[in-house]
Amino acid sequence: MAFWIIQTLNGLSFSMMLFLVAAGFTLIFGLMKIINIAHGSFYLLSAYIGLTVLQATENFLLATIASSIAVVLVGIAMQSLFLRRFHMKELQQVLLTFGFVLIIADLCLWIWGGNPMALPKPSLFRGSIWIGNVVFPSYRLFVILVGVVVAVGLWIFQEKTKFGAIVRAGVDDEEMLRGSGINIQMVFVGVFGLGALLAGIGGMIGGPFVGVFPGADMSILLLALVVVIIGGVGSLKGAFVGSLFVGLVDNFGKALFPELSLFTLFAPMAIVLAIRPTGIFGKIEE
Amino acid sequence: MILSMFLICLVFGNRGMAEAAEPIKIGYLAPYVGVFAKFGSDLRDGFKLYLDEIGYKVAGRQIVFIDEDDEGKPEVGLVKAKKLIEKDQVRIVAGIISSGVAYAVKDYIIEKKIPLVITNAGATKLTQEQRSPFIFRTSFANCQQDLAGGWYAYAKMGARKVIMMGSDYAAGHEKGVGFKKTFKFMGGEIVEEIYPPLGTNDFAPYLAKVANYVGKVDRTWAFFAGSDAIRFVNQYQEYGLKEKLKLFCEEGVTDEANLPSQKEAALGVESYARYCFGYDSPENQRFVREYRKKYNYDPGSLSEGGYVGAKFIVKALEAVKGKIENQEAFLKALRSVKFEAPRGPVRFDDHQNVIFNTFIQRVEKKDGKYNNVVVDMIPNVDQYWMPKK
Repeated sequence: MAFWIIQTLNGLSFSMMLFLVAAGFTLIFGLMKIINIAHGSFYLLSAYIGLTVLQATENFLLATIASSIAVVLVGIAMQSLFLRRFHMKELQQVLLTFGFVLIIADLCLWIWGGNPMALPKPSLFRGSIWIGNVVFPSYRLFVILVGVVVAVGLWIFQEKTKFGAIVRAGVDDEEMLRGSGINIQMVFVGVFGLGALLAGIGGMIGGPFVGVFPGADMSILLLALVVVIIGGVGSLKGAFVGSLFVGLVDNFGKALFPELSLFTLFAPMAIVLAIRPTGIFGKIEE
Repeated sequence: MILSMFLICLVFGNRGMAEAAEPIKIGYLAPYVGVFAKFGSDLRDGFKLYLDEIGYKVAGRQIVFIDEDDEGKPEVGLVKAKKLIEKDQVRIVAGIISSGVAYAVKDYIIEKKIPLVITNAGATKLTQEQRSPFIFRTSFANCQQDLAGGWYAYAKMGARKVIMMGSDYAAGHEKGVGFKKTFKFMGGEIVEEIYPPLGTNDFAPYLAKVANYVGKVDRTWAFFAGSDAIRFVNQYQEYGLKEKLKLFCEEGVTDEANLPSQKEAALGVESYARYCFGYDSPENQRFVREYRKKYNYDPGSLSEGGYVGAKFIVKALEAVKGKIENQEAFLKALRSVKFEAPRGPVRFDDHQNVIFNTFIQRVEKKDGKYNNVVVDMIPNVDQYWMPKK
């Protein structure tokens, strides 16, 4: 019994971290049709910057704010100075983001070195707590909480705010949105920045248990892609459901069949795609 | 008479001068990114410390040290080995941390007839079934100190049932085999073996399995290296296992390289090791002092491994008066090198793998710092060591 509780909570904490990254990715793709391969790089850069600020100030919140601001600035610069020139040219955009992946990855390697590091946890959550007769690190519960709060926040944003309505309109029909006089470039910048922010927060949240190391960008991107493919691109609901699926399957897969851990992740993805090619909540392109 | 003297001088004098002028190039492979990055730099720092001590010169010849990053990946290791041998024309290849890389480069290096002095990678077969007169190993074989460890767990710790967790790559499995061999020989039982992939960030799913065995087994055997070991030990404590089911590890898990990142999580953890930081021999105390002075951090087993590797090579070069070109003589000299290393006395067995004393060590805290201290010692452990029942 204890085994199942621990594994479920583990899976959920991993899911929530994935959700942060996947949500940002799906927002950017849903609105601007940009496959942002550099999304994992936002995650990585945020974790490294956060690590440095954390080492200097010992304040997790401050580090998260600092790294988020940094990553949002990078994201906005990437969108408005570079990606904007290739609007609707998907291949060029993908290549451009891939270029950024290489640049950011090498920059991080140069500045922080090749040694894998772990982000220290916020001092509030360093201990473990007892749930019945099960010991569980309190930090992972915190991650679940953050994920749920962000999910609710994003839902409110999307359904209840004006900006959210604009984004939803843009996802459905961009031409109409332009036609109604709204400054579409500002919307794009806003969404790209939001996506980067989510990835950045994901980096800080995930840093303590996933670690910060060269290659973390690609490994998290891979998982985010799986989430988005399963959940349906462009759908926040899909990102949430997809993350739950991936987080739990990955965790139980590793626990029950450790030698097959990659298979237990990609096999379900293949099955979902076979049954529903656009993902669980995906829309069929007109 | 004068003419013949002149001719003699030409023949012998020239050769002597050419040799004295030409430096000896030593090629070196280690990972500087990835799971073993810290170990890579420790190993190199140790190697260079010895070269520093002799002023990068032996028998009047300059030593040139050419360092390449194999990234811990077999394919990259092979590419870099080719570069060192074909482009840089090195006479010796040393280093290598990952057993995977060692297995990948060995055929090529032997084909080129270059001596390979492995200063870490424990790939067992390289000094057993796949051994060659060109392969030397100054560090340890996977399942060398593990043989002593398996015996110690049963005979001295009183363990009868053990659960094993190792890294899923060549070294993890080979070391597991070593521990299992002597532990079962003595009558112990292995209840389960779990091998998470190399580079696992999150051990949570696997640790939940171990939690099931609390109260049912005596020890958890563990081998993880580099950053995996740091995360493993930290997470082992986070899941409340540290107090409930004690660890008995291979030295890489609580190496001095990891302790600054593990801190309390490693306190009290026991392991078996070829090198113990706390060993109080005069040679080790001198080594630790010099290492700290030069690099400002504590040497771990990789640091000592690099140092010893360099010393073996240089001692052999000294024995042949620097004439590495006479390869037959150099290999023969290398085979017979023995000296007092920081870990204790070292020499090669007849398969060219090193023999050393195995320490049982424990992590303790002193003056706010975490280091390994000696608990016990098993002398003269070679790669085929077996206990008497």
